[in-house]
Amino acid sequence: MTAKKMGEISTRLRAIFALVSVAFVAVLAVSPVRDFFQSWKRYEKNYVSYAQTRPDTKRLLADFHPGIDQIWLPEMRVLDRCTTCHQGISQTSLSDASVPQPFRAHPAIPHDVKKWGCVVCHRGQGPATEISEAHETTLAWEQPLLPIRFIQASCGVCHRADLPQTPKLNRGRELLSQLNCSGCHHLQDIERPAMLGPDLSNVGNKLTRQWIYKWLKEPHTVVDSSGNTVVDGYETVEEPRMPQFRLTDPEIKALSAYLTTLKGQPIEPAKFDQGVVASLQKSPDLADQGEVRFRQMFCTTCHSLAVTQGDETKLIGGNIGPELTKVGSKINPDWLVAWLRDPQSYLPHALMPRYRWSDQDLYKVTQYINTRLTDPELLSNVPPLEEPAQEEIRLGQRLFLEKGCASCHVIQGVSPQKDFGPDLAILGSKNVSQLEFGNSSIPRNIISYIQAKITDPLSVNPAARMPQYRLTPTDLDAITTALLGMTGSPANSSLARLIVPRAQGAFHPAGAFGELSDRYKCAACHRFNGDGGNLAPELSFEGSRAQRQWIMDFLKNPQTLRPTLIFRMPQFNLTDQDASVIADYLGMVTQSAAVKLSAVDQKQFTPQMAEMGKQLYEVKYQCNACHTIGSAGGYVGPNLSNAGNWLNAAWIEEWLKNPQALVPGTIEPRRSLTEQEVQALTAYVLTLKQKAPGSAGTTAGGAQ
Amino acid sequence: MKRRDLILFLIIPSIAILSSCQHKPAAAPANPLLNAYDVEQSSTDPQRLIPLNYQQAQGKRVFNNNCVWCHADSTPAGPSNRSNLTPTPPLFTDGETFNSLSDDLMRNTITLGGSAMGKSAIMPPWGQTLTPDEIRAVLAYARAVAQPPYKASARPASQ
Amino acid sequence: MTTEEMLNRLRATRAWMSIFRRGPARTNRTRSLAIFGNVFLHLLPVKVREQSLRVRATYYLGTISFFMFVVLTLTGIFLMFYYHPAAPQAYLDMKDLRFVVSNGVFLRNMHRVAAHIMVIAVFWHMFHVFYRGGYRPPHEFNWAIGVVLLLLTLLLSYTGYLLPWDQLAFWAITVGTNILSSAPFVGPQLRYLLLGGNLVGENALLRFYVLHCVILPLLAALLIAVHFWRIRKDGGLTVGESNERDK
Repeated sequence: MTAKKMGEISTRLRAIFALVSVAFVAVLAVSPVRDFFQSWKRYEKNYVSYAQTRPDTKRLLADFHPGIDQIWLPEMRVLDRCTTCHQGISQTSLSDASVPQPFRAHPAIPHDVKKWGCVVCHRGQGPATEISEAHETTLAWEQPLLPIRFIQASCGVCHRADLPQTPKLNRGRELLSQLNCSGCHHLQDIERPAMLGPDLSNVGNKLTRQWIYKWLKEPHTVVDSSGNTVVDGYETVEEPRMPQFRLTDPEIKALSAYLTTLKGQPIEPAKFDQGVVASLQKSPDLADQGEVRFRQMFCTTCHSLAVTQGDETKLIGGNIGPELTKVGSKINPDWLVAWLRDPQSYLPHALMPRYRWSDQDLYKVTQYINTRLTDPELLSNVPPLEEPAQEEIRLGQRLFLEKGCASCHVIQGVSPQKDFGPDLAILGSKNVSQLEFGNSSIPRNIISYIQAKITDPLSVNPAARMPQYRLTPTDLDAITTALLGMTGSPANSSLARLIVPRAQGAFHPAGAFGELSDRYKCAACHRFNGDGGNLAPELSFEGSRAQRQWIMDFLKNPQTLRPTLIFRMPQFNLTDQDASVIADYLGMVTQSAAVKLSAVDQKQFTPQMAEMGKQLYEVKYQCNACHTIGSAGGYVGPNLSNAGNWLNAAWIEEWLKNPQALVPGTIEPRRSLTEQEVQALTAYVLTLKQKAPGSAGTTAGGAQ
Repeated sequence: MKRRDLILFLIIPSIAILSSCQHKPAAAPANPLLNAYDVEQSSTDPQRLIPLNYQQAQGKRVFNNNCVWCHADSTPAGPSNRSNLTPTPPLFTDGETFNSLSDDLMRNTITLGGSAMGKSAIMPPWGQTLTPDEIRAVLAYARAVAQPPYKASARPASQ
Repeated sequence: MTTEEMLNRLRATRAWMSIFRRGPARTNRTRSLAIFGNVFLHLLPVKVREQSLRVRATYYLGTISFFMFVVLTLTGIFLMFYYHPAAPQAYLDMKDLRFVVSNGVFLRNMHRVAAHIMVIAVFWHMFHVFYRGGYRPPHEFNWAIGVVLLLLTLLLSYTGYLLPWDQLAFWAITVGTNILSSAPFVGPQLRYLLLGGNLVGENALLRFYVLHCVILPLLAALLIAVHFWRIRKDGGLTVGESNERDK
């Protein structure tokens, strides 16, 4: 088209120009309009109108600043704009559950939001001001919000020691240790337990090939298809330790063949004093006598037995040692005697104490185990197994390494594959793109990944070597929480110094007490200065608490202090010498600075004071609601029938004034007692004495 | 314009631009139970789970340490002390007893003990053993698991 | 003093005379000189052939390329206000542009889309000039300048790619500089020069920033000026086939 003259432009051209101009302006307007209608502006407006419905409007609005709000802590690399929409986060008046999100205040936690930001615990994208970008996985940001269900994982990032406020995390870490995950995977701050699986160097002496076959096929007491521990068809709920490996029949035959060849030092046939054997052999109730001794020695403190009560069967007892319901059908009887006499000769790091056995006791108990704790049907499903061939044994040896057995079970001379399972020490910090989902149809986020891997390893990787675990949903969540907390060391050093490390156990006494402590494995159940087991009371201040003679008597003959406990201190058959060494050590070393034993003179307590104390005990403070004297009282606190022989006066006084100062976390309530009341109660408690403590025999003083 | 131009300049770029649109999959609806900080089985219906928030979960922890021995029928150690006591303490899930009591009354009973509030002296005072936050948390927990369920009163919750 | 006299006094000052050389344009001579001496009036050519304005002649590809260059410069300047070429801060600045700056998304996207269009237009322009024989004598030198401009465009794209400092940026530059290091004899040294070290780190970011914002744009502007000047002095677009070479 040619222009006729300057300035004469065709209508068509003008029309096109007009159209394009309008379109251009419309396109240009898109961005400012979207900017005007941003969602955070809407939330702020809603917050202002919500604040006006509240009683403390003035203060809420005084703290409100329109515009983007951020928590910026450059030295901690925190840049969180969450508070732009979550305006009420620090307003305690908005804590109630009826306050709509996003205006609700943060629950009161030990950390100040303004000093830490939000992302450090909740993850997600801090710099974002839009909901989907901040909360979810997007193209430009891979880490979504951590669901509240697993929020304790974020505590675990810095707090490597267990906290009382994080039960889920603690349970997860406990499971990771107990289930021996660290046998195959490298985990952050989870120590390999001393006993991963039993040491198998001499297992041929202990077990039959048939039993090994049965165990490899189904490695629980038995667990049925729904994951409940089943004993003989009855159901109970306990955690299985050894997972199920997907072994074929020939593989099981080969492994069992290999393991039965591991004999090491041969076991000598059991020797008892002939006179004892002769006198007991003919007794018709030999097994019953054995059962009585078995119970008296409280083997169930560490080992559990399946007990049928009514129509349900439960595993009653501890889980420090294996359950023993059918152990008679499992082990070689000679092995049993050798084991009970000296466990460490078979398994050097065994936690089982080395009791002092009289031949009589040992004979009775072993007869009980061999005849009563059996199940003739146990091995009925095992196919006939012939003499193992050399190829089978070699195959078994190879499978032992390839299947991962060596990662949990030690065999002398066999070194396990390093890194049998992938390193999980920084699993919690991985992004979705760093996880190997393969061709599976699992939702693409880290939580689904972890849970799928644990509940069904083959779903993620069909060639996985990981065995099959069965966990309750609660335990699965706990393990997921613990794993999500493993994020490795933080990127910058200012955060690194905030990590609270796990305290390393450091109580290793030496000398005569050290030998006894090692022989009887005191630390398996008791704690000294926070180091040891959780089953029994902490003994850090036992010397201040208990009188020496009482300790001696108790060690020889452990009584019931707490009537309702299932776990009791076993009877180790200590000699007087043993008991005396222990009592001396406790008396001298385990003292509390708060208790001045010599400051209290027993003679100052008069019978009048004791009478007043009795009134206070029974009427004013109702101590018998929780404590038992004689046969009356409550089950919560220890039995006080023999408290006069048991406790030191100074301890009683300090205890009554402030129990939590002596034993943190104890449930004895602290009352505002006057000095006079304290003295009176102490006087009364000191009068509670039984006759000669040892004469009661094995029945403990007080309620049964 | 010729048809060739139309195809080249309009249609091909349009196809290129439109093909880059991506369909965002619908996000799964959030299940409040699955994402609760903690859950508790309802005492009347074991299949039903009650979600607990942070404060209620801390209350649960304190409860299981201090209160469960007398205010529940089964405890972590096995048997409970409740059957030993006269008068029998109400169960912590007993909505009929507790729902009609105000928060202040409950808190004071826990803090000052039974005898200070005209109730049995068996209930010890916990004010020196537990912090006020812990006591508030226990109360929140008890309210959360009460059967019949507890309904907060209309006036703003007193802290 | 009247206004007229005051103005005349002003016009006689040294400052005025240095700015407005020839005094007010009252005579035909001074009027002509005012036009001739004004650079802004000579940015565009005096005369333009009508046939070179047709779409089918050039498809306006050169114009589009230049226009995109202008858009990139302007949006680039606005982006520079928010950007720090330091290691973690660059990425956070991108987040700021995305979430905090009003129309920040639009600004950044405009810069990026203009870069895409410029690369496409530049390639297309080169193909079209080749198709129409615009490289033939006497226009060989201009063609060479155009090729260098193409190279500068690609280098500008490449250096700009690193600036967001995200995973895409980091790995793209890692791959590219590793390929560079395989060039014979000078490869590793060139890589060291480009990165300011052996790793893609803070030094690399800063160097790429300086290249992208200062060195390469200045070079490109210079060569664009020469490129345009050559066209104009050769008589304008669509002139080559009908004129003979100037002897």
